[in-house]
Amino acid sequence: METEKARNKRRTWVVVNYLCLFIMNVCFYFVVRYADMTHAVDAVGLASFVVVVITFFPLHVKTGLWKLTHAKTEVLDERQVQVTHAALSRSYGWFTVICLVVMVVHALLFRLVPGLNFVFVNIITVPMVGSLIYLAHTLPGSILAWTEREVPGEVQ
Amino acid sequence: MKGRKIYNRIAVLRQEKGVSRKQLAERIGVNFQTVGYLEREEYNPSLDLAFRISEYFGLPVDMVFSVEPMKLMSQELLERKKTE
Repeated sequence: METEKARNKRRTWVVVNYLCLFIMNVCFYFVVRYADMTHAVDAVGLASFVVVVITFFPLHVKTGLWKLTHAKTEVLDERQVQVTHAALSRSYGWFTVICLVVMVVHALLFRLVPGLNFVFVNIITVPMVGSLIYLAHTLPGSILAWTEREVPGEVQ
Repeated sequence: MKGRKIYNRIAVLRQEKGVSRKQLAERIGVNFQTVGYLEREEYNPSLDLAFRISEYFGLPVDMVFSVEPMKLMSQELLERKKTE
């Protein structure tokens, strides 16, 4: 029961973390795209960024998932190696899909939104690159946080 | 491929021996959460780990692990005695 509760809590952190990452990218994307956008969008983007940073700690640091997914195989036991490898292979698949979706959305946006010119606008923004790096590093841990019954930081 | 479930007596044997999950984990060289997964039969150990666990309890592997649900130890010993 306690482990189920802990897992649900972890799942909430995962949803909040990635939802804020998405909101942050949408806000910064439009702020970069349209310079005349209000400062409100800027503020929402910044607030989302702060939430991403804040939720990163209980989700990845406190649970020990960051350490687990970035540890060398030699320091893990056989079950840990098995679950981290499974999470890594699943996250590679997800990451590829996310990258392709980002590219497709960009490509379609330039075709569908009048006034946007592919040549003159910078399609990949710094927050987006940062977010993709963040995703590549945190996806395996998030998958473990979502699926695993117990994580290293939770002493039963 | 999903392997078949392996049943075990680790929880009973550990309690009989009076050791904690952490102590057992240290002796067999795994994380203490792995012991929890093994006891709940949510993880099938490798052959090497199965031997390490059996050696720690001083029992043959087939007394600790089985592909069929575990009977009471006394019942199994009695059945073994009858067949001998």
